[in-house]
Amino acid sequence: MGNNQLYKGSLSTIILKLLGEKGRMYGYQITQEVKAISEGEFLITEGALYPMLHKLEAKGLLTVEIEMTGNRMRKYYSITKNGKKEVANLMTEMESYIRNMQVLLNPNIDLA
Amino acid sequence: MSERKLTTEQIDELFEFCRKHYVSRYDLQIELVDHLASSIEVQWKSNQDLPFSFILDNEFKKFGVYGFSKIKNQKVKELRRKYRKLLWKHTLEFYRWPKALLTLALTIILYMLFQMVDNDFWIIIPYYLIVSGFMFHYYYALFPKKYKIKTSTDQPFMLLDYLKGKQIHSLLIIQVPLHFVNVMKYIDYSFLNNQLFSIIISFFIIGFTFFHYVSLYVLPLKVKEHFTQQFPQFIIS
Repeated sequence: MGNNQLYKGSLSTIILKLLGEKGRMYGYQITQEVKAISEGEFLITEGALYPMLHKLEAKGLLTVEIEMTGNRMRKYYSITKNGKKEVANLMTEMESYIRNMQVLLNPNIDLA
Repeated sequence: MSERKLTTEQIDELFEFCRKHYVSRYDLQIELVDHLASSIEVQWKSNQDLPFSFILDNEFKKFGVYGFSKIKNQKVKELRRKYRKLLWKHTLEFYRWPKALLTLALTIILYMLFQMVDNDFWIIIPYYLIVSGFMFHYYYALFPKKYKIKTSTDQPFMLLDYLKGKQIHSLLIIQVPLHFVNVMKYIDYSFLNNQLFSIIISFFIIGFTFFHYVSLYVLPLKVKEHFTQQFPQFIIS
């Protein structure tokens, strides 16, 4: 398993990007989807996921719907318009970060 | 072989599990119950004979040493932050065009009143009585009729805790001017005769009034809107 510390700071980006691409999802589904996409490399802990979802919801980047599914209620998260703008900004920052890290760690690389 | 799903009794057990682990608010329980239930059902796909309580204990361990408390505390913190931001956003509208005109007019009127009367208690006491009158009306008549939400369940919701807080808040506001008057007894308040301080006090009183107006009349409507959006199925009135 990779270094979780490297992924921790990107949790909001990962969640917003996933919801932007997949549409609405519920909490457990998000953990499973990230696990599947990263082939088990990144596991989102429940203690990290729900506080982040609530934070993004409070900021207006996600919206929620509660629906009955089987014999219980389920809370679905969807990305808002502001959330889509935010993820575009975060992706730009992330790309810039990766580029700069590559230069710092391997100055011989020509990124032109 | 059909997939094993949780029974209604097991779902109830999960709600009870949340209550035992200090999550008493229904809106957060719904999310945690669904998470635990989903993870149990996924495990039953590979082995249907695994005992319910065994999987539940293992799944709960994944929430870490703090269990549900970190999630609960963070949700409370985020809700408070959200409504605090809204409170300041709407209050500051009274200091932007066009509401700033109203703020300026009221501040000037109050300042002129302070300049005109010899004894400032002739302004402070009526202000206190008017505010108290509004707050009693708010607590006993307005809040129960306009802001209170009746739900189809007696389960408490975290979102509605904020609303209940506002109703009690109205009674606390009445005491603020009273304490102010008490303090005035022990200090030399001749500074009020100073024009600059009169302007500052007028500005503060008007700002205080708008702040609490937003807190009691505007924000509860926002909370009600959010609750209605998220939990329409629970609303009676």
